[in-house]
Amino acid sequence: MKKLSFFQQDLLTEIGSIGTGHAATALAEMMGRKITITVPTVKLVGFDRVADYVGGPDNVLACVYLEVMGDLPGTVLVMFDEVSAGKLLADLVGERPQDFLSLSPLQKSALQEIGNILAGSYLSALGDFCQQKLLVSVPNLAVDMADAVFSVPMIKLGDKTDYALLIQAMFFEDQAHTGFIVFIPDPTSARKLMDIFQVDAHG
Amino acid sequence: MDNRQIGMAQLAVCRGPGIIRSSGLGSCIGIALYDPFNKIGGMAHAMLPKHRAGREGNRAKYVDTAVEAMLNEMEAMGCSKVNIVAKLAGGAQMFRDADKENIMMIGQKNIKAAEDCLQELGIPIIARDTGGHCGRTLEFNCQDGGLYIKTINNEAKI
Repeated sequence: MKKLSFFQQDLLTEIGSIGTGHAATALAEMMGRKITITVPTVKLVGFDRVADYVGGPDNVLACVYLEVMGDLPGTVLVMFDEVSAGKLLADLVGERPQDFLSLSPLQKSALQEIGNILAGSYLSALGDFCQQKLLVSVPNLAVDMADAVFSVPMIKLGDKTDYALLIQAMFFEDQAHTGFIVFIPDPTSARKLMDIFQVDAHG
Repeated sequence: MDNRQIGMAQLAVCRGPGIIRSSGLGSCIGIALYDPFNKIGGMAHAMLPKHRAGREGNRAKYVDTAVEAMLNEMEAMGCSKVNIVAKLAGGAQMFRDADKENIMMIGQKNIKAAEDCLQELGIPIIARDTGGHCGRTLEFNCQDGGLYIKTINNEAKI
């Protein structure tokens, strides 16, 4: 697969919206505030371009990495920049990090848990909708450059393909950017989704 | 001056005073080759240890084929293999707490693959900054062979 057809794009956007909608609701409930989310951007991109969808290769983000297993394997990344991670932590654990690059164990585990809840609600909505069983790994956190973090899911795909399918959405609160949620289905999962909804994988 | 930017699974070769940059290496490995006599350098941002036989595709993606491709290109520009030296950077484990057996250890495998491949070719590794848990941004100066490495909280030249 090198290019997405109109119908494939449309299907993946719709599926992504269902996931992100639930994730946004989960975040809003957790924070007790109104959270808005963009319609997902669905793109098939070369490995060197993935970081462009989260602010560029050098953009430093707190990234929660979760591996998706079960019927639709892949990767979910939940990413926050310094300002929004600080805000989330101030609200949830009552302390704003002194240094974004060296978070305390409590701050790390709080961010992991936020990522876990967001990814969990994203995937359970997606699984329900597609009637597929999805399992998710424990969350892992890294605060680093976007491209360095993306190397992990890209390496996972690297042996099978030269392109990554990104389903990316952005969170906003009061028009201030809050974070990203990115789902990267494995190539087999992407094909399976096409089959389930009878979208011609080659059309 | 020839300035090149390479991303994941890409490589470049250029003459001094050219500079080759690559942003955000995580578990990928950066392999820089340098010929000090001709002032020609090459750098690859490789993702995986070994190219499997019978597979077409991007040679810069794998350590072994990336080194081979750079070497060919450098030899075509007049370098001699006996003069070439190597520097390595990257191969980090980005997620510390992850299960040690799985994909997370790919950084170590990439480092090992680069060491083995260069040893086999008789190319000495004269400097390295590998492993750890930090992403690295690289800038390779093809004039003097200096490799500048930036992490989110540090800077170094090897």
